[in-house]
Amino acid sequence: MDILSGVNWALIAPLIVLQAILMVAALASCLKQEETNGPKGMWILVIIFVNIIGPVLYFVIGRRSA
Amino acid sequence: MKNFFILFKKEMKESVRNGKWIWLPIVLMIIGVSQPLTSYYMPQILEAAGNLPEGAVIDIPTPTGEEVLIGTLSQYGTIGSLLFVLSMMGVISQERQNGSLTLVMVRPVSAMQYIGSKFLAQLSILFSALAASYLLTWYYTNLLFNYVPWQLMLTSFLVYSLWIVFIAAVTIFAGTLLRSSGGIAGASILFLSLISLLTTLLPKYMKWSPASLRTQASTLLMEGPWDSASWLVVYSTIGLSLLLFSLAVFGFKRFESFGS
Repeated sequence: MDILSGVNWALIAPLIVLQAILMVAALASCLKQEETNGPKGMWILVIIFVNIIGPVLYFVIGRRSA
Repeated sequence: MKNFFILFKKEMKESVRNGKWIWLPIVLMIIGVSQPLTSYYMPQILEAAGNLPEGAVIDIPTPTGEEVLIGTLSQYGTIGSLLFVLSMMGVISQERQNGSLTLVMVRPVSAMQYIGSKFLAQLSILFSALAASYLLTWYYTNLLFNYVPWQLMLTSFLVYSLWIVFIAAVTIFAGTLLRSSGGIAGASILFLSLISLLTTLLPKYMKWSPASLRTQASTLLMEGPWDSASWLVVYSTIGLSLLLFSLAVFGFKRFESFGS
């Protein structure tokens, strides 16, 4: 684990923040939707557990345009 | 002209609502920033991931800032192009499916205004996303490697943007021909990768190909000024994009006249 301490976290932090914003935005949009393509619970799991690609997939194919 | 602005505004509003203004810039920024970061931490990553024999020495030369930016551009070229196509595949087909296209077209709106507003609105989203991502990457590159002059950064960005214009033209054109979003994305990606493949296989005959814009942007970063071949690519890309755009307008007119 000494490798982790050698990493400058100030450099990595923006990356993590960006991913968090993406995830939260996707979650918020998913919860607000009345209906999604496919079960909503599945999308919530996908958004949370599939890194980066999950939220993008949700925005591209999961949303049902009203 | 008034119609155009109204349609343009509507397109922007819709992109805010379906989250495109959020996810596209963020994902591009993540892709962009990871390039300098992974290059910078490459020795540590190899150490942590590879089970190298004891005493193995790997000497990785530290890349220059320009090389890192080139790496980023090639990331945009693969994952980026895919994302751009995915983000634009539904712009026409969705309206056609849910019937709002018919509502728009009963007004005195010309096909030119309709397609033009779509094209420009999508382009402005893509450009802002790409610019945000590239600027952030540039900042990181300056921080971690060496300073890359901003003129170089800006020109390589502008050259690269032409490739984006081409992608947008291809996708919108496919959008006027096909009905399903999946088909549109598939056809555009197939076409774009075909052109990229041909460009790498037959460099002699494909000097005009828009796909070589990416290599042009790289040589620009490495070697500086351009030769005449670079201008050929720029002109041919602009020409091809205009051609695809007018074909899209024409195809849309035809499509619309025999009903959705």
